Amino acid sequence: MTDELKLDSVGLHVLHNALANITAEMALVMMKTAYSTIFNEGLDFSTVLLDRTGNLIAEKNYTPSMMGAIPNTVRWTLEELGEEFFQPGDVVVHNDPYRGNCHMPEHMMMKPIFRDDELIAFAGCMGHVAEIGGKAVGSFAADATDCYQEGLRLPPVKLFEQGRYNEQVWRIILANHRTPRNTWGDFHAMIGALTVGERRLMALIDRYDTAIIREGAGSLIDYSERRLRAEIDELPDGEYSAAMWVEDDGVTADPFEVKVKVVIRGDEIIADFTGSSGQVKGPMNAVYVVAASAVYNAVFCITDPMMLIPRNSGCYRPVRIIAPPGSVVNCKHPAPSVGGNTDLQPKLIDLLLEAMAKAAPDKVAAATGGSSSNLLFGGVHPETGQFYSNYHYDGMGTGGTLSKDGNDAETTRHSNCRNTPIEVFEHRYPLLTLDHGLVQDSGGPGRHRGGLATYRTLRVMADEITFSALFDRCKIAPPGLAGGKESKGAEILVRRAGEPEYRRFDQVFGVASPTKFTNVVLRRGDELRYRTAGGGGYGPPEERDRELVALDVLDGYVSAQAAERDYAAPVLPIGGRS
Amino acid sequence: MSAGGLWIAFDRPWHETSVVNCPICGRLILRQAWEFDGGAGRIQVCGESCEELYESYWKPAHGTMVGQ
Repeated sequence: MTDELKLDSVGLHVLHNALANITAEMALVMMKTAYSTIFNEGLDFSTVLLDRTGNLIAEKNYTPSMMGAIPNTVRWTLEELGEEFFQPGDVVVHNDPYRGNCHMPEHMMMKPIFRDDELIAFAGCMGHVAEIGGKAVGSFAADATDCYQEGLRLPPVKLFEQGRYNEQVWRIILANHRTPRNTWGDFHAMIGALTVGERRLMALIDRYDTAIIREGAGSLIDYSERRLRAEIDELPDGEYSAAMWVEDDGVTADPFEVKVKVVIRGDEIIADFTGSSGQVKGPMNAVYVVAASAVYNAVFCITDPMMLIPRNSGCYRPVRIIAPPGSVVNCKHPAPSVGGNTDLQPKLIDLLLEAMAKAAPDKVAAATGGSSSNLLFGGVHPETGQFYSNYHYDGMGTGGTLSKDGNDAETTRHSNCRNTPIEVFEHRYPLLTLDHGLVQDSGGPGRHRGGLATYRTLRVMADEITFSALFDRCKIAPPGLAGGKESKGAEILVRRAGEPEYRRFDQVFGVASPTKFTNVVLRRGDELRYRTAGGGGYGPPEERDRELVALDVLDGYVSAQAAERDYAAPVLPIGGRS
Repeated sequence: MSAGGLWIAFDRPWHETSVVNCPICGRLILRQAWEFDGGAGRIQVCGESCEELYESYWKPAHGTMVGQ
């Protein structure tokens, strides 16, 4: 005997909340049971439910960078291997960026959900696994020239086959990751989330019946499509273009260009990246789903910033993407792509918003810091004797808008992640945090100032630690918008123990790029200091409220010298960190 | 859709690791492609909707695509 669920507006609301709460509970399982700080502190993962054809039904989208990937990994797996590939009790893992994933560290796990031998849905979970082998500790080789240097690539393969461990696959994976214990724990956290998702969806189906849930999920998707089309229809038709240069690819010092034309026609949007540079040698290439995630992100910022429309596949239908194969926004195998997700994607979002500023000036922001400021490190922990590895990132500034200043110390717009608390960080890794704070004068001047970047200084507390970094927005600072000015860019420096000053990594170690390097060994007492990038300013700085300039100086956000220089505003001199 | 459009199935062995991208939108083409006459030869794309995208936007914006 099932309960009645009438699929009117109230019933659909009840169903949407029920499905969304399942994905939220899945996310809690991930957070509470994972071994790695990137999951239980950083929240670099997403949990979802999808229908049997790969349509997204509900999500707890901690990381919007995965929006384009999640439905496509499932749909393309179905298309490539067929529905018959999936059996009850299976868990499939997949991190192939050429088959729908964002980049190699992102692992999608999918669990088919059956009722009476009929496939009815998938529980899904995508997360950034902190160590997957490859040439760099932390699997983030900023100088990689092909995907084989970036770690172990898995096409869709089964971790569990009809409820049993597929031990052969596990053995291959664990033998190729530097921290197999963490992989074991994190994979099981993901599998636990899928199991909870399956259990809760089955309970919902038991309560209301399969046909009702299926029809309701379809209605929710159609509803979201109608709502998003209505929002797009409100925007003025037209073609809106923008272009940007990205400073380098990690292997060569050459900048590359990305162009986009956003076409709004009625109730649909086309984002056309034709004319962008060809794929580059280093790992700043994006794969198709990364470009797609950036487009969805920017479109949702414009059309539904308060997230009132249920996020499911219906939201994706009115959005069409043209990402030329072989270009830097849709690289082809075996191009490296780890930084395309973390560092090109946020800039693609900035670029799309810049283009759409002409259509919706009140809904956009100036450029963000635009880099995840990726810092990877690993080694043997002096207290445990165990090998460890960590992927670390910090907040940057977001851009000013028509109505407000940018946010300070926020992780990139596409990641929505948290940094790791210093107490946890120091407990887990042999690094001492000497300081951490907001960078004065890092926000781009404007009527509405860009948000402030962050700085951090770390001292090595082990005999040696191997570091890699992929920082961007160092040579080309985040631009302002509508007359606003650019912000202060990022940098990363090192001071060897006993030396008096901090210097660039290329000066000390001879690496090709001062901010994108791989496997540099620092020793006990060495210090690493970095600064993320601030957000661009919005509107002419001279139009900024004088009182706000004075408050910025009092708060230490802007120095007295910068207030005079950028805002022509003589104010009280108050000290602060530069 | 055009009257001459049709689905073409690919016979890919399980050990084939390469993938093909749609020349219009860039998405993956895996087991089957939608083939139609683009005006300068037949074009294989990821689905019928890409033929519509080609006719309504791609061709006016970028010109006729030479078929494979």
